[in-house]
Amino acid sequence: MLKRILFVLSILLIGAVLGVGSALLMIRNGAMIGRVDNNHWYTSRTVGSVDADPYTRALVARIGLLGLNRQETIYYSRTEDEAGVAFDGACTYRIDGGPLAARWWSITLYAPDNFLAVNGDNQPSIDATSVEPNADGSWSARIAPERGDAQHWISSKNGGAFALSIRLYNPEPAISDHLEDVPLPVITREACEGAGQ
Amino acid sequence: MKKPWTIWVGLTLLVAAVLHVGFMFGYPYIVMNAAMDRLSANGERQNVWTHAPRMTETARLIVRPSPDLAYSSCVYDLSDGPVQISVQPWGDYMSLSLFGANTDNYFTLNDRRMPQSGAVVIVRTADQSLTETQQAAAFEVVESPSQRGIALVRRLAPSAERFAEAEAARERETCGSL
Repeated sequence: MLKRILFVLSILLIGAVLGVGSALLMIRNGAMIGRVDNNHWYTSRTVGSVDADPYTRALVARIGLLGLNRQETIYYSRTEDEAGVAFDGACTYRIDGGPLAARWWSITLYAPDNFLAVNGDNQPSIDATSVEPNADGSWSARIAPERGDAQHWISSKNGGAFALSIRLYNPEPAISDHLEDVPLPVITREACEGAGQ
Repeated sequence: MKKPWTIWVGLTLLVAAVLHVGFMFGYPYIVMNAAMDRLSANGERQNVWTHAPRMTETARLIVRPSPDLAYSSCVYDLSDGPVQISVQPWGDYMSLSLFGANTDNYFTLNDRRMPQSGAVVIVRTADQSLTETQQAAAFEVVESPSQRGIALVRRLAPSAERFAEAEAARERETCGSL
């Protein structure tokens, strides 16, 4: 009798650990069916929409709750620079962009807890109303713990292994079918505090 | 006859698969319910707008908030009947979006589609009916996939001045039972 109870209990316990554990791992590691990659940025075709699959919904619940569908807003995220190295709040990055095909856009830095970095700088983002582009539409900004001489700046102080989000509000209809080709800003690491680079 | 250990492995994997799928389906509801509880002060402020202050580094209500937007939320509960939402016009991007209990964004109305004077939207469940007068007063009648959900207004307000203007506009908005 005891042997049978142990048999059933072990099945339930180990099955629960495996089942829930693997689900949590997938949510935590961003497994996202419908994910679209675009030069280190990534997005989902189904965020917010009623077509989202359970995995996408679970991921959205963790990192993008109350996100709008892609006809209204397209969200891209990234966690690494052009070399594929994870962002580091202590480093200095240059971000180069051009016109973005949306009515309004913003780029915001989030700490690993998915909230704004706590640093007192009040510079968590740049947006279409704050960036002054050149005559050809190009613009650049700095992501760094200190502003220095940058005209446009996002503070990464206390950002740790931060992530960036681009929001494209009222995107031009054509781009929602070409999410992998939309021209997006390029982010290059210029220096790293204490790393001698 | 199968050996006990093969039965054990098979049953364990079956339990794991069922719980994996169940957790994946249930997780968005759990998170959304927690968000609805937070935004409504544990149900104390349902069917009423709550206007968030400017999003700063101390905001912890919703993940990845945009510091450039003014947010207003209304956790709606249709158990006592349909809910009527009114929104004011805004000279920049704004949207009213509705989210079901499973996180789906099932309805969005932005300023481009909204009448210049603002809009009234009625949210109801599939089995709730409206009078002709109620229907006529609404810009749109929307069917909610769940009894509870969240209405969210976003207004582009990237400066302190614009945020103050957004605060004035949203004070005139309503969210409540019909």
